[in-house]
Amino acid sequence: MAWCAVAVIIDAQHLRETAAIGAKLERLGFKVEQVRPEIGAIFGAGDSDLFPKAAEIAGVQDVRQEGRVQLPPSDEETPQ
Amino acid sequence: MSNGDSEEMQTDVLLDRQRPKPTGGLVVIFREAAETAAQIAALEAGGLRASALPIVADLTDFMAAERDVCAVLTELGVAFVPECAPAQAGELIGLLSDQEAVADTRPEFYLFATAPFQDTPERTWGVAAVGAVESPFTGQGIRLAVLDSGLDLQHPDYRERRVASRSFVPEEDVDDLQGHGTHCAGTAAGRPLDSGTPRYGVAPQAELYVGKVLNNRGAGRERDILAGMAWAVGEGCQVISMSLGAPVRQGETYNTLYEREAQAALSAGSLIVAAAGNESARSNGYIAPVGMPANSPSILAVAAVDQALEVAEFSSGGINAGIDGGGAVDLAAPGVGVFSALPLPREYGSLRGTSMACPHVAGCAALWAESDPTLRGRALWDSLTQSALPLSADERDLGKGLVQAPGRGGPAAA
Repeated sequence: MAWCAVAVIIDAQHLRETAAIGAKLERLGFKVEQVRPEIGAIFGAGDSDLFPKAAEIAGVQDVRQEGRVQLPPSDEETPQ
Repeated sequence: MSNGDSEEMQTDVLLDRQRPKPTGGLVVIFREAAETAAQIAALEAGGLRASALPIVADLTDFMAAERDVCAVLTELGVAFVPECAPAQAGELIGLLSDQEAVADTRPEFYLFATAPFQDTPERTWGVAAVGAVESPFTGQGIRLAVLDSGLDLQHPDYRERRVASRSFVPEEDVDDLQGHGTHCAGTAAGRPLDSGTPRYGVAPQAELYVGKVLNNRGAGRERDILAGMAWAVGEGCQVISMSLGAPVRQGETYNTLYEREAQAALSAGSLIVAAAGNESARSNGYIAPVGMPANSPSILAVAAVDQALEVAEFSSGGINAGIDGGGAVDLAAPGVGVFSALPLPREYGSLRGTSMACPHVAGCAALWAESDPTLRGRALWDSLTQSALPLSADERDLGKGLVQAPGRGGPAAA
């Protein structure tokens, strides 16, 4: 069990149902923080053990940890 | 023979192999008081034929046409003696050195440029290499977004400038404490207030939109980056620069969400350019794949070149090119020793990386967008790739080549 930032991707055929899928995720125990129907994205937080259950929801293409980027330290020698 | 002697001898051999190579010709330097007639007479006393050449620029044509005649550059008080046999050269140096009008005679050597581009007091090497200096366009009327760590709004070059900005980072305003965003925004659209500062911005008159999507420690969440992209598109930015990314594995495909956002951007007339990534160690033979989001098919991926227009050591390559239509490098731009703005108190500094290359392309995109109002979205992408200067490296590493600004034929070395 690991609580983490989550990204849920909705498949292209179910973009209009993004908000409804978000509600289903909340019922599963996810904390939904941002819903983006135009690109089929739901962001929030949740237990990674619940990912397989979330992936079974109709219209869900993928459930994964939210991506992050990290710049290196700002100095002249390190490629930025 | 001691080890020390051995090392010394080896060093001498290496130095010897690197010594400048003589052309076989001679350079004759005349005394300041020597008239042209005296200069020619001195050469003729050495058994040479000579002709005065008042205009230095004519030298190349002259030497090509008159292979056996010395060219006397009267403006400089110097003469070039054509190639002669080594034994004859030694004798000639002696003869000419005895002449009253001659101050010095020495062998001529080949010179090679080690880096064709360098910064000058007027402009950075990158701005020159992409042709922005000669371009008649400045980005006027074009909205250019930089999604990064924000901008130092107290920097002298931005304090008086109208900048649209928004922070997508929770509990942080747009002020850039990290430095990366200020540097990238400067390369894309910086405009020095002080005339003593070199021009470092490719599109200095572009309308700058700054979206802070990376926090003051340089970290960014996927949701905030996507929100920043949507904001820039919604604001009508024709160009969106993203000097950020995360590494991917060999064989890994692109991120669906970045691709969807980028497709929507292209449809709305916004072109997104992104840094290819810095994970390569080319001197060790390792080339890393283009990172995300630059690996999205609808985002233009930018690699970095150095001042010799060679692919930078760290620049990621198109290792995953063709996987689901993404993963390729599309263009290259200056990404080594890039001078630009930095937050106070540093004010200015040089950085390296594909993050520095990316805003050169964004700036050029703004110039192209200004040059023709029909160049938006995919048409703008095509104009950039079709006008690029092909470079010697593989397309896998540098895409279609060095990005070029509109309004000129090619880069001028300096």
